[in-house]
Amino acid sequence: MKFDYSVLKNLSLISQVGFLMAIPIIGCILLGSYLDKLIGTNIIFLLVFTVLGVMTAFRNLYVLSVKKNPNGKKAPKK
Amino acid sequence: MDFNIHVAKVIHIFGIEIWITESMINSWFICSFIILGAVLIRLAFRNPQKVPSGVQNVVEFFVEAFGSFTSSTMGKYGPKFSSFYGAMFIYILFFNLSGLFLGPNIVASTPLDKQLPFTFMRPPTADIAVTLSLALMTFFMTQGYGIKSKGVKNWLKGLTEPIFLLTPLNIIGELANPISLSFRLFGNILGGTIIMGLYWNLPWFALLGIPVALHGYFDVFAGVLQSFIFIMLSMTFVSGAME
Repeated sequence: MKFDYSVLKNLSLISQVGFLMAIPIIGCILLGSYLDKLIGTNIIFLLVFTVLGVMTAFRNLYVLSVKKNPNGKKAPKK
Repeated sequence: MDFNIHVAKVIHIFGIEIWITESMINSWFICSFIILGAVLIRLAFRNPQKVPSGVQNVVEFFVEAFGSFTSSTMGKYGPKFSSFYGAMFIYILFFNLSGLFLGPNIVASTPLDKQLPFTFMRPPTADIAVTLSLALMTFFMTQGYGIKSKGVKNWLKGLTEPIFLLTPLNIIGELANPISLSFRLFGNILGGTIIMGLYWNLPWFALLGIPVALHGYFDVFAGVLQSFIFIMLSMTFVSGAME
């Protein structure tokens, strides 16, 4: 019996999407807030790192859906 | 109800304070069982036969199944990593299921508990230190094998793709991988442990029959699924870094 493991692989990758989007945003917000307190600036680092976190979340989504998944690539023309 | 990770002993080595935690003792306890099991299985077939039977047949089935699983996930790199990920799967699986078994009674919460040498174990994977260390292994393997297969120059170039301005995004994205891996395993197992702990504190009539189904879901189903997902993602990250 040959079991198709690609289904399980795709399920694992789908379940990882939420984590890979949430963690950069939360991490960057915490880092930005910490740097603001450390340097004494108002919210400049918080703003910059929040934008970076959101952009990283989308980058992660792209990498996960296209690069890590062979089905995400365009099929070669026959 | 106490869901904290207890410190069994604090030792000092060269002025450094080292905490021997409940998770460490439980993991040593579980590891000793895994090693004992491996030795017993090895002793069960001292003379491997060409046509397998009995224990050898069962072991060969599992080894072959795991070999085909790693090959289908990692492609040509699969056979090289099969034994490592097989060991990691067994390790995480036993940790996740350990809440169902008795282990050493490290910190007794009630006077009655103090008389018992054994109690139900707190799964070591419900400790972020354990899951983060497992995820960091994946992270260093991903980066290490990426450097080994591509070379330092191409690996650094990969961080600047598709354009140089996106370098911070790529670095933050790579750093997010071990955190997301560790949080997923930790959160799922800790959640199950807390829910079961709360449920066992209900009145006796609520405990008739239902805990079996809850243990089946939170311990067995979630435990097997999360250990499987952990190694699946780890394999995907490592093989992706080498391509």
